[in-house]
Amino acid sequence: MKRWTRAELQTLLREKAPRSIARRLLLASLIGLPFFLAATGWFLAKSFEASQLASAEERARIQFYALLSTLDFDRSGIQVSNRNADPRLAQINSGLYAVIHRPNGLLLWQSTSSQGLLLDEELLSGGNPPEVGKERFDTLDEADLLRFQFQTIYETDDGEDLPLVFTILESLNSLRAEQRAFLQQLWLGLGGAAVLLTLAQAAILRWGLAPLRKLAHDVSDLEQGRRAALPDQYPTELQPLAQNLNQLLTREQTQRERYRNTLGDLAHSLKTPLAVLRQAVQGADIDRSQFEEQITRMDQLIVYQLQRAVASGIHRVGQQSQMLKPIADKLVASFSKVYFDKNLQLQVTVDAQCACRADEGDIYEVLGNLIDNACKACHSKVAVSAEQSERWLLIHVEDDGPGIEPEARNRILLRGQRADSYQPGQGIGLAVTVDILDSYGAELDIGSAAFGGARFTIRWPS
Amino acid sequence: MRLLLAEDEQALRESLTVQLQKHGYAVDGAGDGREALWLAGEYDYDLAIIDLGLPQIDGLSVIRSIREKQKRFPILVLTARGRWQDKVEGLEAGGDDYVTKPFQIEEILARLNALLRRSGGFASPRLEFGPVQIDTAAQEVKVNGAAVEFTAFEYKALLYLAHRHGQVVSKTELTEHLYDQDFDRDSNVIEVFIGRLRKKLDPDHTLNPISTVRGRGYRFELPTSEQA
Repeated sequence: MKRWTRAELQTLLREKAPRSIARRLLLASLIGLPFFLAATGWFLAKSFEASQLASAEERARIQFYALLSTLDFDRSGIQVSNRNADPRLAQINSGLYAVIHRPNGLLLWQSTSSQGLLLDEELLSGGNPPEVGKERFDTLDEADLLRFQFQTIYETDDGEDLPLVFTILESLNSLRAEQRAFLQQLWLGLGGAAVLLTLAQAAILRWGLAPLRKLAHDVSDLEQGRRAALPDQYPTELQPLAQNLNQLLTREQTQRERYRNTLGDLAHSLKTPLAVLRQAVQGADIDRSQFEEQITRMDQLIVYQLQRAVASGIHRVGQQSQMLKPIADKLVASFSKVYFDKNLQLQVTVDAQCACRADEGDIYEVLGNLIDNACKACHSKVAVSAEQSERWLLIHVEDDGPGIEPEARNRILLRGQRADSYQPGQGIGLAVTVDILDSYGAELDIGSAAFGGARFTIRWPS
Repeated sequence: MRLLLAEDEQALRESLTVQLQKHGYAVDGAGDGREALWLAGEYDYDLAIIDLGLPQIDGLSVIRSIREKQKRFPILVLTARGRWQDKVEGLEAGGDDYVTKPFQIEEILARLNALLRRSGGFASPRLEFGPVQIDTAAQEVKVNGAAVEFTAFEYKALLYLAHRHGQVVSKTELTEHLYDQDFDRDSNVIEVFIGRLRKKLDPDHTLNPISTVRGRGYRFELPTSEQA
């Protein structure tokens, strides 16, 4: 016989186990149910037998008392009146027998029923009778009999003490017949119960797993486009799954719409410069500067739309927090190279603990655009600082340039403008920044810096 | 000025080479990272333009390797990716400035000028040597306030010497930094060239801006008004 290793058994279980949850549960209960029913049956049969014996003992004791009460002793021996006695005692081989004898086995009286019975030493005393005043109840398997014995001292009229043993015998046949009938009933009942239980379980599983089937059906409906979202009528265990699926769908839909809008905006916005170029090509004299201008415009449009599309935005599941300081330091190091000629004072005051839940590239983009604008606008000083509170991460980018008039601030921050309304050099960086911040639920404010110029403040939800 | 141009797009590399040569640069082109790295190790460049998306060895690695070899010439990073993260990576690897594609040649020239000036130790785009003023932004030369016309090559030669004022520059060095690799190195050409520069800068023979150091080369003698 093959010896299975643990790994082999696991593989077997994995490969052979049914794919359906309902079938798995049903299979498990079908394997368990017979053991459970067999144990129940065995226990019930044993209990029945015990109670049969107990009641047989009780019956025998009653026979004994009845016998005792009708007993009379005279010179000719023991007399038993038949008035109160069980009629079975008067009937040969009725299955109920009574015998009165001496402890040594000397027969004094026997019921009519026992006349066909071989009343030997073994049957009557079984070696030695019970002590005086004590009873004994046992089974004689060889003779197929139940035996009840009681020894008493009978005082005769002559004042003589006479030890008597009463032996009541009952055939086991009727008990056996009862047992057989009981067992038959029992197994029939248990078998029926097993079938009913299995059917009931199958029905329960069908009912219990119905929401899963409905979910699968609804998801397939989603796929086929027959429904837009999953309904919110699932049991509590499935509701979070449905909600998460819906969120995922919404996010995916938003992203898709964004891509579509971006693509649409891009295509539309490129048409105008293309039209200008076509006119210029068809015109008699080709003006190089016109070409340059239109190419620059197209380039800016592509840059803007590309950055908008690449910006990941929207909290993704499991979005990691990014430390702000290393990003700010790297950007500032880069800007001091790029704006070398301006001989800038670039200051970073960001706590090492400041972190922000967003894509690293998006943080680079937002900060890069703001610092770049500040470097362009400043005379010589740009400061980046951040403070973290429980609700917000505040990031300030300040410069000592001319600043921004209060009236102009809102216009600069206006978002959702149509992409093709952007003109070259109109601050595409800032538009991208606002777009990215918007997708994270973050805000951008413009104020005045302590040292004169503009102060851009990002309010990022913690 | 000798310039290394690493760009894999042949059409762009060739048109850039032509444009840069027109503005007085000696250009060595490389079509992939391996070639660029080899050239950078082999020749003494004044400048490099390196595209980040190079085949074989990518631009970032090329820039890092160049810096690891202790080459200090300024590098202008060329990139099609406009995101700040990409630009920062290029600058962090050792680039000195970046230009995103598509670009106008004027922008490249302006950045190259600024980088050259910076590597020569001048902070302002206007270099002053007594009566001689060189405006690197406008590429104009004035002597005693009057504009003097220079060809692109003459201007580059003057700039090369001016950036190394007080140092001896050999004819070979000057040739290498002015002409492409395959240029026939006839020393007479340089002599004629220097003669023309002297004539334009000092028509009255009063300044002696460029002296000949016998057997070694030339030296730009005018002291700068700006501390390098």
